[in-house]
This record gives sequence, structure tokens and C-alpha cells, in this order.
Amino acid sequence: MLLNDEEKRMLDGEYGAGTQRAMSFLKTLGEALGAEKMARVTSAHIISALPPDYLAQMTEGVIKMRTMVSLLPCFDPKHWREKYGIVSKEKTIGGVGLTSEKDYAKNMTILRSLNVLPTFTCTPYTIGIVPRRNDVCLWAGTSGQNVANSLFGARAPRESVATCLASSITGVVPYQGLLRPESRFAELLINSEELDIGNFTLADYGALGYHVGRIARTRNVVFGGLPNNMTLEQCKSLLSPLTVDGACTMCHIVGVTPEASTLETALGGKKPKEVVKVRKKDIENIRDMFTNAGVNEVRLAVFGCPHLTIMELQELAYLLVGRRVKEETQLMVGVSNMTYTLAKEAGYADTIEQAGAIITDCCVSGQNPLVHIMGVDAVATNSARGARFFQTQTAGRCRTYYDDMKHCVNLVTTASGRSY
Amino acid sequence: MILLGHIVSPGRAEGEAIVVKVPFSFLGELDISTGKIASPFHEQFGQSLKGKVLVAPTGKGSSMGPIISWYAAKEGNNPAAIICIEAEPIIASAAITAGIPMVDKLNKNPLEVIRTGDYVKVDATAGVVEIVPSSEHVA
Repeated sequence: MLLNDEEKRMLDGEYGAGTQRAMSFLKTLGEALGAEKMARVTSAHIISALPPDYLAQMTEGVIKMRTMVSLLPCFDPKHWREKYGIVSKEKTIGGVGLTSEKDYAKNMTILRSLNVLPTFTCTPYTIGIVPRRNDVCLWAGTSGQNVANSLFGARAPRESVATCLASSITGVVPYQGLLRPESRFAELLINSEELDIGNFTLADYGALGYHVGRIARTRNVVFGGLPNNMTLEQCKSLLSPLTVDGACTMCHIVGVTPEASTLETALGGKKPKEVVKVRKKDIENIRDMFTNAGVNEVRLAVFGCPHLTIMELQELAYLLVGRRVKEETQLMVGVSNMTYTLAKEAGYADTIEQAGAIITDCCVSGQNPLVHIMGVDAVATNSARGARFFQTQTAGRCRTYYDDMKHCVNLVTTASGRSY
Repeated sequence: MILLGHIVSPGRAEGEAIVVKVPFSFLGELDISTGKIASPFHEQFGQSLKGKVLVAPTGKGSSMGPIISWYAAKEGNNPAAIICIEAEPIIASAAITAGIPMVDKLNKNPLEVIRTGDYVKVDATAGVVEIVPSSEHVA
């Protein structure tokens, strides 16, 4: 792999041990993936819940990050103890995120000293970090990677949180995968003619995305028959589960994806390598798979995997007018602080909170404290990504009920008796 | 049988093979405190990967993989080595971060020539894999 002079200086240790480790990691990875050179990074998105010794090693001697870096949502143990009396455990099956107060503080001290932006969201594109076409985005959190590629035409390679950290430190990433224009064309054509797309809820879009991701594995896909006026929320629901049991990070939606003005453009002028027909039955099967809890068993409804947009909060507020979360159940909503501020200004946050819901900037699936610490074992959600994470990251202990927002809200709320 | 491949994460290790037919995700599928397959939806739920040579088509899923492999390494619960048909970036970086030797792009499909229980020597510094069928291996 060819490194330029500055990259060689980093590798030789001129900028300290952390930068050297980061560049050494990127070089090994680049060689593994067939990259011949590094590319400059436009922005990076990382997580604070890294192993503290790992973060300390990687940032040893680093004075500042070499690109704009923001943060994924993270369980803040001090906040949850002080506000809700929930004390973190050291470990879960998955092991991500539920760190001790000491470790959390240690990591945040390092990250704040390096001017990492405390955005705490998995949807940076909803709070002004909106990539331009061809920007190189090293965004940990595979849903954001998919959205950056498929909605914004950014070059967001499928990379791990370790790569995103190393790229934050060095400002570069191996030039491979979706960074290469020739690797961005679709290989699989998804035929969705049989589906009643016009009446799809966000939960249906999520089931479709999960199903296609599992079939696509690492291949790029193109949807030929989806509406070209899909909303951001519909796109987010479709794209975010593509990488849950798959690794599909480029999904062309004809008329929506900047590189997919036509089907032919998305395919690079070639025939698809495979055409996959999705049937109604496939969507039903996924919905069934994510509904292994009974309606009476649900103890918690969760929205916000990925974090909700302001319009999703608006819808939730409408649904909660005149309703109240039942005594024996809870409702948790994941949003960024910036979206929360807007929702507060608009009145949605008050409506939602007065109904008894918790609004948080925490990750509400993989790090959900009610599920992973308090042991809630039946969750209703409209997120396919969230449903699968609840099921797998608790080794099956947590079962899920999968339906659109309205039905999930109805399961955990009752009429409040207040008049409006 | 000797196979030649491509280096993903350098190092040498050997052990009993465990072959999984579907792509592997460290997050959600490896229980860091036992080294067993954690997902009950996995065909090989409960089987141990600890100290074994994991053979999988490729990786999948969450970008948090290296966090899991880092923690599992501390507890000695990672696979000893990984062989993939073709690595994708997240399983590759999980292996590199935790120092798990890993190869891919072998001259034969590893899912066809390696069986669970075979004894496999992985030289991921030279890119060479040696398979000793379970019937011939003497522990």
C-alpha cells in the first residue's frame, strides 16, 4: 500500500504512539481489503462507549482529531442513576455501551479534549451534519452509513467503529469498497411489484429492508418500484435494517438516490447479476419473526432506532394527545438533543412527556437500560433494526412485538380522561 | 490438505474448526463472557467458538464488532483464528483489533473443504492453511 509522506510520518511515530497505532491499523486493514492508497476523510462519527484502555491507547499523544468528529448515542450511567435510579452493569451479552460511571467519564474526558462533538445521535443527518455528494463519511453505526450513501450520495464505506476512530485520528481511510465509484453500482435488482407499497407503514418498510439485507449480504441493491417521493422516515425505515443480518451498505432507490436517476444508471449500464422478487409472504414472515411476544406481555414500547426525526415526534405527539402510559408499562423515545430542543419549542416534547413517556438521547435498542439492565423482556416497536437487536443482543431473553407506531402506542397507553 | 489464501490479520494459530454457513457478526453472536454463540436464532446457538478456528462465508451486521472482539480477547474467549470466503471490512477490523489471525480468498471454498471438527492450522502471516481431517487428527 502506498502511503504519502505525511502518512509515513504518522506510521513512523512522529505524531505519537496513538497516531502510529491508528495508521498501522489502517495500513493492515487497507492491505487486507486490497486498497492501494488512503483517501481523505470529510467527517467521522464514532461512539464514546469504547473500551477505556483501547481508547486511551489509540489517542495516546493525539492533540486533535484530523477531521470533524461527532458521536453516536450512548448510555450515560450517571444520568440514568440520578434521574431514574438505574445503576449500570459492567457487562451484557453484547457488551457494548453499558459502562461504569468511571469509564464513561474517562472516555468523555478524552473525547471532549479532542473536540469531538457531543451529538449523541445515530442520525447526524437530522441535526445539520448533512453529507454532500462524494463526501467521504466514516460513520460508525451501519444505519447512518447506508443513509449517507443511499440518500445523500456520500461515500460512506462499510467500516467498523475501530476504523472510524483510526480515521478520526489520522484523517484518512483505505481507498476501497464504496469509496470507489465502480464499486457503487447495484448488483441485485429487487422486484417489489407484488407488494402494496402505497399502503406500506414504516414497519412494513422495515420488514422489507431486513428481508432484502439478509439476501443481499455484502452486495449493493437497487429497488426499481418504490415511489420516488418517499419521505425521509420511509427511507430511514427501509435502509436501517439492511445491515442488521446483512452487510448491504449501498441501496439505490430509483428517483431518490442521487446516483440512481434511472434503473440503468444504478446498475451502471449492466444487467443485474440477480433479480430478487419480494412477495407479500416474505414481509409477513419477517413481521411474524419480530412478533414473538403477545400483546398482553408487552411492558415497553420503544421508538427511535434509529433516532426519530422531528416529524416522527410530531406523529407520536398526535397519537399521545388524551392518552397516558399505563402504570404497568413504559414508553421510551430516542432522539438527539437538538431534535428534542426543537420538539420542546414546538410543544411535542411536552405532550409526549406529560403522557408519561421517557424521551432520551440514549441508544434505545443496543444500550436500552430498561431492557439490558432492568430486564424488561417484551418490547413493542416499529423498528426492524431495533426488534432484531433486542432479540439477539439479549440472547433471546427479550421478545418483541412488531407493528406501526399507532398500534404500539395503543398497547402501552390508555385514555387519560383529560379533556382537550 | 494445504490451501493458499490472502492475509487479512497476520499471526498464527491452530485449533478445531467450527464451520458456520451464514455470515458472522461479533455483536449479537459472540457472548464475550463464555465464547459461545449467543444468538438463539443461530443454527449453532450455544456452541463454543473459544479457541476454535471459525470458518464463515463473510461478516455482517453491526459496526461495533471490534469492541466485542477486544473485550472477548481479554477474557480469552475469541476464536483462535478466522477463515472467510471473503472478508468484509467489519469482521476484518474486529480480527485485526483483537489480534485474531485471519485469512480469506483461499484457492478452494473453505466452507466446502473444511468440516466442523477438522483440525486446522492457520498461518495468516504466510497466508497458508493446513487442514487435518478429524479422522486423522490425534489430539
